[in-house]
Amino acid sequence: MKIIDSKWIKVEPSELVNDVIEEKRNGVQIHIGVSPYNIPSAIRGSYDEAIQKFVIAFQYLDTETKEKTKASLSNNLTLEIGIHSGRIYRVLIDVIKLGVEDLRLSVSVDQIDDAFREFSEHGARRDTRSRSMAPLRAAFKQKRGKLFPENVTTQD
Amino acid sequence: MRAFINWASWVLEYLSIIFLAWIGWCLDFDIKEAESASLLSKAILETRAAGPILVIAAAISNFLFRFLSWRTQTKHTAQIALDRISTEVLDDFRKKVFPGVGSMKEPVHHNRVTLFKHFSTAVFLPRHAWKSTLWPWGFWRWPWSGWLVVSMRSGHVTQTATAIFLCPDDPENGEGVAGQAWSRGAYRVTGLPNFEYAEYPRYARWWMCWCMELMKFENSKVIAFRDFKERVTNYADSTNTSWYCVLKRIRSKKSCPNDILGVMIENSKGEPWGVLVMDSSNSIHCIDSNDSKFRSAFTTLTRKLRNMGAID
Repeated sequence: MKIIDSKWIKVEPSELVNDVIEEKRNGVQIHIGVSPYNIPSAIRGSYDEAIQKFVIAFQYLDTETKEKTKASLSNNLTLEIGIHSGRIYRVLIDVIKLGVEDLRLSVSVDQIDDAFREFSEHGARRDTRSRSMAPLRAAFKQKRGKLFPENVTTQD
Repeated sequence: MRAFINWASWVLEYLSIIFLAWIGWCLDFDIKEAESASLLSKAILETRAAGPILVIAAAISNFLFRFLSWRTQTKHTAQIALDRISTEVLDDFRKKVFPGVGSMKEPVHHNRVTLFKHFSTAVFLPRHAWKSTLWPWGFWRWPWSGWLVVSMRSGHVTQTATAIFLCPDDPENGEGVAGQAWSRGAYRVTGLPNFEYAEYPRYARWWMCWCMELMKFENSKVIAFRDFKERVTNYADSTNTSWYCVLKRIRSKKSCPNDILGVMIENSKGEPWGVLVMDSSNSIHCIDSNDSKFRSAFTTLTRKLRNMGAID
C-alpha cells in the first residue's frame, strides 16, 4: 500500500537565513551567518510503510557517510541526528490510521516545531546550535503546507 | 642551501646513533682485552673514561639534528604535484565566487581564496605570529589552545604564507575572520578601511606626532596621524586581530583586504576540519555564502578536495 508519492521540495537558502549584522565604526559591517552545511537545500514529507511512520526528511549541502543516531523526544516523535554534525536529517512521526489510506499525525505541527526548539536549546553549546538550527526551523515553517498531503490529517 | 642543511643534519643524526652504539660497545667491552697499546684499545679506554658525558652529548646531538632535519625537510614530488592540483581547484572556485575576476586585469593576490586547517596543537609558531616575546602563544594561551594554519592558497603568489590564527574553545576570542568563522560557521566583514595609499609613519615621525597629540597640538600632520591611527584601530577591532599585526602589514606594503568572508569547512564525516577564507582588496567582492552559486561552487570544491585527500 503506497500512500504518498512525495518529492523533494527545494528551499531557497537565502530566504532561510537572516545574518546578524553588527555595525562598526565608519561603515564597517560584520555579518554573522550560519555554516552552509547547516542550511537545508530541500525538504520532503512521506509515509514510510516499512516503519509505519510519517517521515520528514531534510537534504543538506553535504551528506554524512557515517551512520546516524536517533534521539527520541517523545513516544510519538523521533529525530535522526548526524553523529558528528548534530544536524537533524529525519523526523519520524507516529501516525494513526483513520481508514484504508487516510492517516492522522499523532502530534501537532506545532509540537514538531517545539521539538526542534527543544533539541536546539538542549545540552552544551546551546547558542551555537540554536543559531545553526534556525534555517531548518525556517524551512519547516515555510514548507509545512506542502509537506503533508491531503490524506494526512494534521493537528494545527 | 636548505636541501644541503637537511641532508647534513640527516647524516649527522645517523652518525650520532652510530656513536651511541660505539659508546655502548665500549662500556660493555672486556677491559682485560684492551690492555695492549693498539690505537683501538686507546680509543676504547678514552671512550670508557668519558662515557656518561659522551652518552648525554650524543643523545642531545641526535635530538637536535633530528629537529633540524624535520625543520628543513622539503616536499616530496608527489606532494608538490598534489599542491598544484589543489591550487588549481581553488583557482576554479575563485573564478566562480568572485564574479568578473577573470576578465579584469587585477593582480591575483587582490582576490584570494585561502584554506586553513585546524590543529588542536601548534608547538612551533613562526616568529611573526608570536603574541609575545616571552610566551609565543599569548597570555593564558597554550600550544594546545587550537590553531588555524594556512594549508593552501589560490594563485601563484603569496604561497609562502605562514599565517596562524588562534581559535580557542571560547568562540569570542577566535582570532581573525578565520577564527570567528571556525566558531560561528560563517563570518563576514565588509567596508574595511582602505590602506592602499596609506603612508606608514616612520618611528621618529610616529613619536613626534604622538607627543604633539598629547600636548593637544593641532596641525595637518597630527590630524593625518590621528586619522591613520583610528583607521588602524577600526581595522584591527573589526577583524579581531591586533593593532600591531595591521601596522606590520601596512609597513611591509602588503595589501589589507577590505572585504573578508570566512566559512567553516567540514571533512567527509561531517566534523569541522578548517576554514575557507575569501578576501578581496579591490571592488570585486565574494558573493554571499547563502547564494546558490556559492553553495554549488562550495560543494564542488569540498568534494574535489576530499577526493584528492587534501581534506581528510
